Amino acid sequence: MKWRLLPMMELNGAMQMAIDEAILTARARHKVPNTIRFYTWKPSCVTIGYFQSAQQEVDLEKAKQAGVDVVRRYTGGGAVLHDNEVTYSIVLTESDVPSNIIDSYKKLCLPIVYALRLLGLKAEFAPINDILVSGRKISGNAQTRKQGVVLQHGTLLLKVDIAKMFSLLKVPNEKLRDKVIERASARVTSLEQELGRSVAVDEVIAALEKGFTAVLGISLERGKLTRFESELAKRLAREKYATKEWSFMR
Amino acid sequence: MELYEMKLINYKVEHGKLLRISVEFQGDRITQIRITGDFFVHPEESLFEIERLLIGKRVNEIKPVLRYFVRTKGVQLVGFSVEDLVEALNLAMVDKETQA
Repeated sequence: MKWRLLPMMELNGAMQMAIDEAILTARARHKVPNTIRFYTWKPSCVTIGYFQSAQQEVDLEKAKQAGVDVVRRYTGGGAVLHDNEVTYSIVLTESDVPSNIIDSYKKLCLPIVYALRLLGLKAEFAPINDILVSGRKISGNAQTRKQGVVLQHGTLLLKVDIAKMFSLLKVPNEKLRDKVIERASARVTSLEQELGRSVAVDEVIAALEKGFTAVLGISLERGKLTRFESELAKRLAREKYATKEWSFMR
Repeated sequence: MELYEMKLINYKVEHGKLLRISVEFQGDRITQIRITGDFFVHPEESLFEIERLLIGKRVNEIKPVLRYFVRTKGVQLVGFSVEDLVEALNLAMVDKETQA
């Protein structure tokens, strides 16, 4: 089966989230095929899960001072600092994945596990929605299903800065902050940490492309956003993802 | 006049996600509730329906209501279960919380 592969995009958080939703809508209207894209964030961004409260999860003042955007995702899950990472998104019809959510995470995470193995790492899928290397989290994933279409996006950490992460993220109980940070340091890893060298975005994307084609049994055809998608994305970024109403919905 | 207090509770589901619940009770009836956290609900809008369903209910009568709702609407709760939500609300009634 032929899927579309979009060019790497480095954009702000509101626009990245808007593009993911625009592709989902275009797929639901049968305007585009199943699609994969890879992206990075400029400026760095904290995304919060659909059901989270920005005030509860993020130190909004510090994020502002640090020039880090804060954007609510269309998908559930937790707050993430998108800093040194490659993000991927997959948009595909719901009939292409198991109806059980965790089974579908597994199906869509296995290409990433494969890519990590190509890079020389022993990776594994860890339910509900994580990928681990040496028992430590290197990738988190989140999905939503709308109008018969699945959108799954996720991260692959190139480098991790726990101190920066927790300067921006709040912890549920501030009295336990030190303990939470200590635990997170032991539980999170990155490509740089595991490979002992810095890793270029292009190298990671090349491995991910191989992972998706090999594991999903698809071929990737390079394409670009349609006019429908880019216009819808610009509108969604402006009227939804960049608005206070959306960010502070809960 | 009685004053009602909004309670905030963090309930970490074992091998699951974190439920953060703001809830107000009048006696043992829920008068306001907002459930936030890093869990997943499919379809997402079902969570708002669950919040609406809980208003006016006693904590000890919500389990069958939620089970019926989840089953008949085909809702998938990921990272927590109906039982976890009920347990979290029971703890909120007695002002206890589990640590994340």
